[in-house]
Amino acid sequence: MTRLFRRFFVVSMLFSASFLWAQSDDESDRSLIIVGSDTLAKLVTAWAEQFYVLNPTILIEVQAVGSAATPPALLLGTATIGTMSRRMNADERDAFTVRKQRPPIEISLAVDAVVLIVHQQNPLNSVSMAEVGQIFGMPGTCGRSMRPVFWRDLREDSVLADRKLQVFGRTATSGTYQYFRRVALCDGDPGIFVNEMPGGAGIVNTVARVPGGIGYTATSYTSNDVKILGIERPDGRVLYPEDPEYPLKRTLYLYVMTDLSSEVPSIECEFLAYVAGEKGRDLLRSAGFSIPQVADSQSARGVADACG
Amino acid sequence: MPVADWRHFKSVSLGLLIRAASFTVIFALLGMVVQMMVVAAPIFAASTLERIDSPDAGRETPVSRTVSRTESRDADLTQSTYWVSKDGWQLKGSPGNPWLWVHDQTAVRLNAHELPLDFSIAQMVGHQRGLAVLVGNTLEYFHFSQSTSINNVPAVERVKTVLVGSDIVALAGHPRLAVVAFATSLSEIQVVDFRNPNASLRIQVDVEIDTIVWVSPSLIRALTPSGDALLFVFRATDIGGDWRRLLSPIEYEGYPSEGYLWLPLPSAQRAEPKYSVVPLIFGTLKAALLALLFSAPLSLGCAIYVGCFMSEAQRQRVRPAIDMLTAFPTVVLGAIGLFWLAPRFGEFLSALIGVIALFPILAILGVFVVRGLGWQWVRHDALDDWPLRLLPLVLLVIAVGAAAGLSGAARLPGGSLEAYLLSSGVSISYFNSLLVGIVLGLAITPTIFSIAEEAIHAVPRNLAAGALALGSTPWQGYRDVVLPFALPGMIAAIMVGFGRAAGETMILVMLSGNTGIMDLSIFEGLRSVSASLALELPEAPKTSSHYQVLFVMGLLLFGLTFIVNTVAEIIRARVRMRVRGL
Repeated sequence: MTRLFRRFFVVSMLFSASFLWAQSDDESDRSLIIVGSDTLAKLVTAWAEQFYVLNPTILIEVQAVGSAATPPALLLGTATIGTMSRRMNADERDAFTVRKQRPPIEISLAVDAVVLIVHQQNPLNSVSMAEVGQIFGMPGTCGRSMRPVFWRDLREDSVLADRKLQVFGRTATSGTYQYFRRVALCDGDPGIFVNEMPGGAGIVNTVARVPGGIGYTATSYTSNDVKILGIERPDGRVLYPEDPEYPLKRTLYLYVMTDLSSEVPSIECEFLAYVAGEKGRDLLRSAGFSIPQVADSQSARGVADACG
Repeated sequence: MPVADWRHFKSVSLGLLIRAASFTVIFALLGMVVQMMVVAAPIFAASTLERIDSPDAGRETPVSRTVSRTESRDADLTQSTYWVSKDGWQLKGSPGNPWLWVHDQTAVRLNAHELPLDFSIAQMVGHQRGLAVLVGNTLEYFHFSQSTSINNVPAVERVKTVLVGSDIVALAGHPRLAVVAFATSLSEIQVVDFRNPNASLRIQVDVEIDTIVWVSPSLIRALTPSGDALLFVFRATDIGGDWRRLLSPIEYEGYPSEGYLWLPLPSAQRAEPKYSVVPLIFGTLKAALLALLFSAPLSLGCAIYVGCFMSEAQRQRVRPAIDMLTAFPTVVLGAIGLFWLAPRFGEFLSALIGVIALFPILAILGVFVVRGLGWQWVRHDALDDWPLRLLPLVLLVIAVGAAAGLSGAARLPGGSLEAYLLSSGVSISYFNSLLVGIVLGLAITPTIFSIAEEAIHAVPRNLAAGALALGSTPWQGYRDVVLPFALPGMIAAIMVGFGRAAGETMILVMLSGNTGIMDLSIFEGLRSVSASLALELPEAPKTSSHYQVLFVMGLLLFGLTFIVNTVAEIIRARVRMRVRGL
């Protein structure tokens, strides 16, 4: 439900249109449309609100539909900035390059962990990556092994014994799903028994209610109602999302449609400068993400400096 | 203009306007169906291979990723690496030597004895997910599955063996599909699809070919020894022109047995996309039938009561109220199901079982009590609103039944229905078919009621009155005289309800769990056609096979509801004709 609301959540609607009409006419086209990832929706909306307060002449519209919506939106010009929880694949990049005669500007925006969650009362504390593949994949992904159907198949002494594992995941259009499939399921088939939920928040809310539930979601959605599982390494060490070596960490990306090399500083540049600045970074950290360590050409700071 | 003329003009023009509007709607609908067919049709196209002359003609597809591995043919006898799995296992082979798995860190070497020793050419196929090996005159296709555990060597499995007629001089694997292109010593270019090996494509060229390369998923470049390039365009859908892949059990790559799977995987790179529509049709029918099971007794009972026993004045008030419910947004029902019903499904089920089990007994008992006490609310000799006065009794019976069901569930071993079912081996999924059936049943109840009640009410009342005059009780009169007349209309009502349940989307997206399993258990989830359309259509690339298959399913759904509704409408029309004669 929250996703449905967010989909059409227009930040600019919060403020009266008359206030904007009072501005001079030539600024009326100063608008920024951000389309993309559901994972980043909360953060981008918070950014958009604060950015609007700082720059009331710029209209910002945020739509969180899922990462798959970003490349077509940038291609058709229905969005000027796109966010994705995975990197554009070669087909999407090619399509953009063919249409615009240059590759899209790609910025590594934030680092996020995909976490495995279970019901608060589940005694399970950690799983290995091999078990993750068995739980969420079709039998046969990541080596031929049986799927644990009941909790006792996974841990013999589990108090959930005869309860079935109820597995929750995202729909195929989600970047989180695709990332999870690539990294945790060895590029194999995700199980058809996985309950597909349109949004990350839905997974957290449902797992919080289902004693035998297990799901994956982006860190930013987790709440205290669910337990976050650690991941066992083959050497026995258990890694949590805070660890730098946590295996399910990924970079979230931001793509800019417009060419930033023009003389006039564009709104996109202003927005990137804000994102890379102190206020933007604070929001990013408080939303549960961390800042990626990348080369200047890939970071929001570097791109903003280059065009501003 | 005289008034009469104006009136005439008005009625004629209004009639024309209405006709024009309805024709527009009909043609728009027809146009949409034709449009859907046009979009969906390419999925059934057979694969094609044709030669193009100008090298520029190949530019229409982005020439980006060349499968470089295929360019270096393995003429040398040193062991070449064919595949590297994510955790470092490398597959090494050379003609005449055993295939080896070598781990790059631990230097462990293992024999890959599944792969043939005496091969002449081998090429990776389908985004590195398989290997095509030529042994003599047969092409063998092997599928790999990666493994996360360091001790687990990737699994290799022979999927298909295809006999090729002549000597192969060059072989190249398709970058995405389980397809190979090869050149034979008879100057022939052939493309073999391992999913549908009988339909191999071939083109005779007059020159000798010694290298063959996939430039893009749809473009093959063949080189002569002197360096001239020939270009071939290969077009294939993800089902390889074989419609049976949508409906028949398929032995998918890497799966031990045949099955039906819906795993379209929009951005899939290394897994075969699976487009069986069977699980989705199964899910749609399962949800619709469960909804009918719940809804039919409720709505038909309601319709019989309102149609037979309610006074005209009461009916005039009740009918519009229930008709209004038809327009109740299903997303709200879905939300109620999601936030209220699903979390307390076990208790709801216990209460429901209690009501269903105890209602007949309690109702009969209640009537005896009421009559035994000598209260005069119940008269059975006139067609007025006497049953409405039983409403408090009915509510009481429901409340008692629910309470009995709840307390009965609490006395079960385990303390609740869920725990009891669990101990007897039945696990209730949070999103299950029964939940969908109940909410969906509520959604279609007003529709079924409305049509069934109309059918019952259309039977002239003087038939029942005649039966009463001849000495039958009201119930006998209705049962033997009115209801047989209304029966076809009631069947039509159920069919319309079925059509609505099959097409319903929001409730299924929210409550079915969208799991593409084919399980008859009512405690497991399901995935319906409509929910798949809602979830996948907006993001499927416009020209992809996935998009086309979704349209095929949309048409199937349209066809199903169209046929069911048409048959229902014909039945209703015939009933109206029959009743008019009375």
